[in-house]
Formats: sequence, structure tokens, C-alpha cells
Amino acid sequence: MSFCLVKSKQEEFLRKIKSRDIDINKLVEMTSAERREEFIKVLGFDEDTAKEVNALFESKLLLKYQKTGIKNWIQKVGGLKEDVKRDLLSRVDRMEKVLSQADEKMFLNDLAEKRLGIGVSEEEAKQIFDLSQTVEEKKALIKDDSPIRSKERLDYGTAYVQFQDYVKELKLDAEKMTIMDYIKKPQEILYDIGGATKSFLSTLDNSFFGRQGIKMLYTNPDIWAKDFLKSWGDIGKELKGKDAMIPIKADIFSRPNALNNKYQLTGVDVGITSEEAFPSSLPEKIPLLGRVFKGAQSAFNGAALRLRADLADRYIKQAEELGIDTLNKEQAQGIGNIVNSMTGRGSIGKAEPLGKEINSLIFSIKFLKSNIDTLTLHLFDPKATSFTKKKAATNLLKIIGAIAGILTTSELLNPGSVEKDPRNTNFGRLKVGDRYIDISGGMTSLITLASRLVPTKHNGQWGLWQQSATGKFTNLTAGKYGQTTALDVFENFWEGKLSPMAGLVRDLWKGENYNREKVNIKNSIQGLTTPISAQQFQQFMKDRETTPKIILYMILESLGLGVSYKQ
Amino acid sequence: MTTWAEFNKTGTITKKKTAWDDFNSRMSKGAFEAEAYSQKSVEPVLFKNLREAGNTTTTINKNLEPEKTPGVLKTIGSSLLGATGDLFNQMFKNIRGTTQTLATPIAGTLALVPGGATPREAMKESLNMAKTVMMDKSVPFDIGVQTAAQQFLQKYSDPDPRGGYKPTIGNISALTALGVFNLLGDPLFEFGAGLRGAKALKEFATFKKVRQATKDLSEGTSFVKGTMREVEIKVSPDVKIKIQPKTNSITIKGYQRRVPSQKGLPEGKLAPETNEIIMNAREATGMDMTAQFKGDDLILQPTTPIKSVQPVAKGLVEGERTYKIIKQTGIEEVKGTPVKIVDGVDTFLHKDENGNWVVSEATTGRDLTNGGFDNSTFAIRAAKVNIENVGVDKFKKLIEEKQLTQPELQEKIDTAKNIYEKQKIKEPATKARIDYLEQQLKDTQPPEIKKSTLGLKVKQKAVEEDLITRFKNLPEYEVANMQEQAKLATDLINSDFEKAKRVAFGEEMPEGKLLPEAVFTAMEKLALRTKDITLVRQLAKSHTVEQATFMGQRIRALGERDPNNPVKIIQDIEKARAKKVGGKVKEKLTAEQKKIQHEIKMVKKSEVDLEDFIDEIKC
Repeated sequence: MSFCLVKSKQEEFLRKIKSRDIDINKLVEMTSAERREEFIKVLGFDEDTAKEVNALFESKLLLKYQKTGIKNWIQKVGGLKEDVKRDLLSRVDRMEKVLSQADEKMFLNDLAEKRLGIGVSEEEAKQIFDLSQTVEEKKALIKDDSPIRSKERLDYGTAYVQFQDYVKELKLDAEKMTIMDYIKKPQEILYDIGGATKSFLSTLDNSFFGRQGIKMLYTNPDIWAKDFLKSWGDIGKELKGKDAMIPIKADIFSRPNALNNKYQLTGVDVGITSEEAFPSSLPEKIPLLGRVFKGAQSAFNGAALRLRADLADRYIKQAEELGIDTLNKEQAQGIGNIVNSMTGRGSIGKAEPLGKEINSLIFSIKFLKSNIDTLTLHLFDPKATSFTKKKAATNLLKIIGAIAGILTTSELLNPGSVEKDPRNTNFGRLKVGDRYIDISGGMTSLITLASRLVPTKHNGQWGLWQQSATGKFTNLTAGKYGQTTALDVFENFWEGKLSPMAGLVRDLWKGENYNREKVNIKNSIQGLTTPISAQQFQQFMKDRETTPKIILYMILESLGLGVSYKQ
Repeated sequence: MTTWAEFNKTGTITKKKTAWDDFNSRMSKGAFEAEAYSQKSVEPVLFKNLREAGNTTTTINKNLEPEKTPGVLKTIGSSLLGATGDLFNQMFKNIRGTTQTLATPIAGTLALVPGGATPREAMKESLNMAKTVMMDKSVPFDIGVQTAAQQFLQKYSDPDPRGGYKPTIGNISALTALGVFNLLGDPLFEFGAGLRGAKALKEFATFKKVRQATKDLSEGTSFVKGTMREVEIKVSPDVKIKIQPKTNSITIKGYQRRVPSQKGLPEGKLAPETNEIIMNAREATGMDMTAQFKGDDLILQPTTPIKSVQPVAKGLVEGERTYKIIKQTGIEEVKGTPVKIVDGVDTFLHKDENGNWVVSEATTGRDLTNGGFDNSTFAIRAAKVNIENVGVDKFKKLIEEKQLTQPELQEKIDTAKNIYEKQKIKEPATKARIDYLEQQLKDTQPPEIKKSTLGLKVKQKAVEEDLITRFKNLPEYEVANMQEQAKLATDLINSDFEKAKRVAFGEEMPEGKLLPEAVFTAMEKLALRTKDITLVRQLAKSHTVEQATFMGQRIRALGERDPNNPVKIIQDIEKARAKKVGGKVKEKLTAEQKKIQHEIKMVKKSEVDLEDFIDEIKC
């Protein structure tokens, strides 16, 4: 110790304490300058001695009080996890000097943030910083002419995905609901259960390619085929316990169009956490079965991302060849919208902020919108550009041509197997055995709905006509007692699009479910948690289908080609 | 009847058949004929003749029993499989043979390298091999590999009295590399590898040791899987090398029996012999390897191509010099030989106090071999692998951070210059070393000098670029001159850092034309460049917690920002966390801070504490 207090001064100090001229509580309350002043005034110290004594007072006594006070607060405060508490206590122990006013503000703010669960800790900030630096370093190594999926691109992509995953994890953690949160916001319970039931129903298949992605089969079969084959590898990886999504995302985020921000500008949905059919990852947590769920989920999400990125790359290139500036936001968004709609993710425009609420009501609103956009050639899409509309027209022609080709072949091989009247339930479907297969990814049901809701002629009579699967025509506006009306047709269409939870409410109101059974707890839980493919399997068994037919139907169903009820 | 005279005329004595013989013969013929036509398994005339020749019915039936002809449906599968197998086998052989034929001139050219087979021998061997593979149905498609392996063993291994050979570790390495080439396909037809593959193959064609071969793969080299099936090279009764294309691996069967030093080691530790095999295979094939043990077997799997492997022999440059190395006991001087491992990194080979060979980095004096080896080649390889594992660029950055002091650098420069001046033929390598050291010296100038330079704390140009990106779509900033803003902001940071901080945090408004957003952007750039996490956090807080401030609102309105920007990400997370807390976050935080201050105030302070304190500081 370089400084010490001479005996006379020490005795003077002690005397002043006894006479209460010096009060410890007051000394603690004072600022450094005030304390120094006090030492000079009351104890008669010179300026240097006052400064030295004050410095020692702060480092030995004041620091001790500050530390004790903060520690007391940490011990007393509720809601802190043990590890957070330990971390804070060790931080306090590490304090070597008394906090200045500015430092105290920052330090106390940090503690308060920890207490409230906000703010980003130093460790988290460091991790974010380090990961972002790694991403930047790896990005710098990518040469302009580096081919996609080259080592340096994938290295960057992987670093980027790891970075994004870490950030996402922190954000999701922030959004995690506690019991108190659910009490405060009970609607969240509905959203979460709704999400989980949707995920349960969507799993155990590789249905994206035959449903949301089937438009790609008819318009860009090369991309479809390549990505379809890859999806099986993704399922295999997940079954083995490997993460299939990291390499998929690493590939996509390291492509030239990701690095030059064109994906971002187009708004093509390659950065989303999960598709609308898999809003919850709860099923993954089931022991053993979780891997199967994860496999189906990765195949679905991976398919969507790959198809979208591949198509976006193709359309961006084509647009640029036509002289379109793809860095122009309007042009880019036009491309993004058609790419999204071709891969089952239509834009719901101004309703986007209500996505969570709509999703709890409708199973796949974006998929439905994508079908509407495709059939209406994006005419009602406010962001559609001339390129979008031209592409939409070409795509629709290709889709109609391909489906017509399949159906014509079917009709030639098996006369009478194709229903040509759009007002018929089975219009545009492929007949296999006693059932009809939807090869349009749900688009024909929209045509049927529209055909029933606009005036058409039947037997020389105008009306809103509906034809049943058996061929019976009904005039929806005939006004007969108890008959199906146009409104019923419209309602039925939407009833079929409801989410599992909303569907349960529908069944409760109707008093029966789709199988015409009375709704009870058992069949409700079954209906909410049994994957659609498994439900279909049960139905085939119930219908006493032969084994080869069950196998065939299950293959079609698991590929997303919806198999109808027995006719 | 014949007379004696007639008999004598013939000159031969013929034993006349007795009537019984004749009878028996005729009876037998009749019986055989009857039997021949009554049986159904053998063609009657053939049966009769065979019977007459003395064969028994059982023998005939046994030997001539017609094959049972099963139904077409029963055999169609196996027939088709067999035919397909033959077809594929011939196809593999044809491909192998064709590539071998096409490779003949290359094999001949490569054989011009002294040693081993002559060009004529190599070409003849190549053509013979091609012919054998394609024409001879009885030889397997992998005859080439087998023959090369056997010839190699014959040339370089001692025969094992139990059969096969007594291979050395080097032999096993060579054969392992041969296995890797075969996993990759026909070596000469690896896409992108081209002549390099051929060069490595030549080592086998001329039966040379593979450890002398190196393979520098071009960027983007991709290998196409060859038409390979499993190949087994029998080295000795207890060692076999199995090449398994299905699992993309080479298994050295019985390896641990042959190399007991490996067997005694704990899991994860490699014996020097094993290390040599892996290193040799890695270097010869240009592929990184993973190694694992399964029982007594060593399994190697090539993973990814390694970059720019320099021939070891060419690595040694110039003579012995004095270097400084860092030890736990301090800095020591050692004699070492410069060895080039990667461009731009000054490395040298020397011995440590235990006599082990070590490769160290010259400017930092740090060991790159993790403790050294008893063989200099191992040390060089280990250093090479260590650098490659870190990544050359990253490694260079790391050594930059651990540079020697300025006087030490100056000393090195002087020494190098001295050498350069004395050189009769000026070595470019020495010149490059001088330049490198001088650059380092320049880079390690004391920071005080740097501070005086405008914009050194934060680069004005970088700030300007960021400002343009961020404000390009914001009409209110269109009029602002970004170059000027960047200059003003960097000036403020460099002249009054604390003030700049207050402005960036939204606590104070800047003066004149300077926009607070420009200061924020410049400060953000500085924080990222200097890796100042505290500043990053403070900047992030400046407009989440303090969002009620005017500055906070303005900065929040900043346009496009890099989505990977840590400041932005921290802000987003804080925003998400604050949203969850709900209500007025700032007020909640202030209330919590007051509670802490209250706790500090509540700590019992006694006069005894003060007395103790005085006692403690008394003289």
C-alpha cells in the first residue's frame, strides 16, 4: 500500500467519528467530490490526503456496501432462474471498483433487464457478434463465379443458417408462453393447440409434391422431379437423426440470388421457419415417433424452400434476359408473388398481419389463395407485373394441358372414367378403382364451386346447377323445401377448408362429424391428432378395400394426391 | 468252309468265333436294343451303342441323365439376373479396358520420368492389361488393380514364408492410396483431376512408393464415382486391403494385429505408423481422410479434396538459421531450417530439447506440430494439416494477432536483408520474406500514431457506403450529402468520442449539418470493427429501451440495414423480449433500478466499519 494515514490524522478521524461529526451514512450518500470536501473541511486533510483517503474509502468500504446491496437484491428478487442468479452474483463479485454514476446506470440497467427478462446479455451479444463475424468472413471467401453448392458457398450457407437459428432460438425463447401468459392471453392457447393439431394432421407423408407443389410438376417438371427425389433423402436423414433442413437452407441462402438480395427483394418465401401446414413443432417431441414427424416436416418444408428457390432462380434469369430490372422492387415483387403462388403460398395481402388468427380458422389459406391466383392468372394480385401475368398465363395453359392430357389418356383406356361437367363433384379427377384422385392440387374444386355458383344451362333450363357424384342434377335456386341451396354449396366449400380446431366446432354445431358419427371426446381427440394419411387408412380398412388397392391409395394419398371417398 | 491254303494266303491267324459267342453277341445286341427303346432317359441308339461298348445301365444313366428342365417362370428371374450380371461385368470390363487403352500414351509419357518401368514397358503393360480385361472372360474386371498391387508388393515387400508378403507401413500406405483412387473411379478419368490423377497413377504403374507422389487438385475438382465393385488385395495371410465402393471406404483388415503399437493405445490416439498411413494416403490422393477402428481393422474414408498440397521434398528451402521460439520458460533461440508450408507464412523446422522434430511459425515462434515428432517428415505434415485445419486465411490472421515485438521484427528484417545482400543470385523468396516482415512491422506501429489520422478509428468510406444503403429509399435524406455526413461523423468520433457516443445513444443532438443517424451508423461501424461488444449492446439499447427519445425514434426509422448486423439483431431480440414483458418497459426498468438502489441504501453501515477502515489504512 503506497498511501497510509499518519497516527495524528487517524486519531483525529476516530475522534470525529465518536463525536458524530463524521457520519458513515452521510459519507456513503455523498458523491466523491463531496466526500473529499468533507474530509478537508471536517478532518483538516490536505487535498492529496483527502483524495487518497476517499479513493480507499470507495474501494474498500463503499464497494463492499454496493456489492452487499446488489447481492441482497439478487437474493430477494423473485423470478430469476438459479443459473441467472449465480451469473449475476459472480458478476457482482468480480466488481473491482465502485461504480461511477454512468457505470452504475448501465450496470443497474443490466440487472433490471435480467430481472424482467429483457435485454441481451453480454454472453448472448458476444455469441451474436461472433456468429455474424463468421458469416461475414465466409461470405468474403465466395468468388463471383463460384458455382452454387460449391464448398465455400455451403460453408457460408451453413454459418448463416447456424447464425439465423441461434437468433431465431433467442426470439422464440422470448415468445415462449408461460402459464401466466396463457392466463393473461387465453386466445394463445387456442392458437397453440390449433397449430399443434394442424401439424399432427399434416404429418406422416410426403404430400407437398402432389398437393402444394403439383403445379410445378405441370409447369416445371425438371425442377419438380429433381426436388422430389431429394425429398426422400431428407426424410432418410431425419429418420437417422440428422438435421435435413440445415443443408437445404445452406444451399438456398448461399445462392447468388440470396447474396445479391434478390430473394429478399422478390419476397419469395425462402426465409420462413415453417410452412402453414406445420405451424407447430410439438409432434417432434414425441419419443421415437418424433423423428418420423420431423422427417415429414422436413420433407414438406424442404420441398417448399427448394422449389421456391429453384423457380425464383429460373424466373429471375428469364426476367433479366427480357431486360427486366430485377432489383426494381415492383418488378421483383411480381416475380416473388408468382413463385410463391406456384409453390402453394399465395399472398393474402392486407390480411397478412392477421395470419395467426386466419390460420387458426382455415387450414391453409395461403395454399387456397395460391390456387385462386393461378386460376385467375394473378389478375387480382395488386403486385402482379406484366411478367407475372405472362408467366401466369403460360403456367395455366401448361397445367390445363397436362391435366387434360392425363384425363384424356384415362378416358381412352377406361371409357367413362372422366367426369367432364365442371358442376360435378368429381370434375377433373382421375378415376382409380371406385375412387377419384385429385391430380390438380385442389384447383378443380375451385372450378366446380365457381361453376355451381354462376348461372348455367341444364336440359335447356338456366339456373345454378349442381351435379352429384352419381350424376343427379339439382337446381340450387329451385326453392324446394330442405333442398341444397347455393349458399349451402358456398358454406360447404369453406367448411371443408376449416382448421382442425375450427372443424371440431363445426362438427359440434352440426352434431356429427364427417363420418356421420356423434361427436364425443374420443373421436374428437382422434380427429385432432390422427394424421390425415392414417385417417384415410382407417377409412380404406373400414370400406373393406383389397390390400393392393389400399397400398395404391395410400401411396397416392401420402404423395398428396387426395383420394376421394368410395363412390 | 475255308481251307488251309486259303488260310495261309491271308497271312493272319483268325480265331474263329464260336457259335456260342456269336449267339451271345447277337442276343446281347437284341437285349441292348430292347433295353434302349424301353428306357426313356437317353437317346436309344446312343444307349444301345454305349451298352454294346461295355457300359452298365447305371453308368449310362448316371452320366447321361438329362438336366432337369424347370419351368420357364421359375428360371426366368435367375436367368435374367445372370445375364444382367454378365452384361454389367462385361460393361465394367469394357470401360476399364477402354480407359486403360486411352491412358496408354499417358502412361508411356509419364514413364519418361527416371526410375521404374521404361516408357515402352509401361505402354506394353498398359495395352496388355487392357486387352486382358476386355477379351479374357475369365479375368475379373479389377485385374488391373490386383496385378498392380501384387507387382508392387513383389517389388517392395519381402515374401512371407506363410504366403503373401511382409508389408511395411509404407507399402500399406501405397496400397491404401491405390484403393482410394479406385474408389474415386478410373484415376485417369477423374473429371478435373486429369493429369494429376495420371501422375499419381504412374507411381503405381512404375511401382514407386506413393509417398513421393503429391496431387495438387484444381479448384472445383469433382470426382465421378468409378464403375467399381468391391476389391480385395491380399497382402499377407493376416493383412488384406478391402476397397468398398458401397461405403466409400478402404478397410485394412487385420491392421492392429500387424501393428500392435496401435492396439495398445487408447481410443482416439494414433500410433505413428497409423498416422503415417493416413498422412501418406491423404497426400498421395489429395483427399482428406477419416480413420476409425473396428476390431483389428482400420477403416479409412476419403472425405473432401484438400487444397494445394505442396510436394514435401520441394518444401525445404535455403540453409540453417537462428530463430526464436516461445516456450513456457520464455523465449529461446534455436537453429532451424526454413520450410515452406503455405505461401505467406514463414515456417521453419527445428529440433526441440527432447530431440523431436518441430515446425514453428517464425514471426510468433509458436509450435505448429503440437509437441513434435521423431521424424521430420511427420512434423512437416502435422504442421501442414494443422494449418489447413484452421484454414490458411484464418491462420494468417491468428499469427498476425500473436506477432513478435517490433524490435524482434526489426531484427528479423535486418537479418533477412543481410542474407539477401550476400546472395549472389537474389532469391525471390528472401525478398518476399523481407517484404512480408516489413509489412508486419508497418502493421504493428503503436496505435497512438494511428489515432492522429483522420478516419482511422472508423473508415469514412465504409460509413459512407452504409449511409447510402440505409438512406437510399428514405426521401427525407435524399438531399443529404452522404460523403459529407460520413466525414462529419467520423470526424466527431475521432475528435470527441464521448460526445459521439452520447449522440449515437440519442442523449444529445449533434451540431450543424450532422445527422444523428450518420453518427449512429459510424459508431456502429466502429463497434463492429473493433469488436467492442459493450458498445454494440449500448448502441442496440439506444433505441429500444430509450425509444421514447427523439433520437431513438429517428434511428428506428433508419432504412435498409444489413440483416446480419449484430446491433440490429440485438435490437430485434430486445424488442421481442420487451414485447413479452408488455406495458411500459422503461418505467418497469426504472422501478427495478430504484429497488436495487434502495437495497444498496439499506445495507447496514456501522461506525465500526469506518473504524476498521481507518485502522486498515493507518501507517
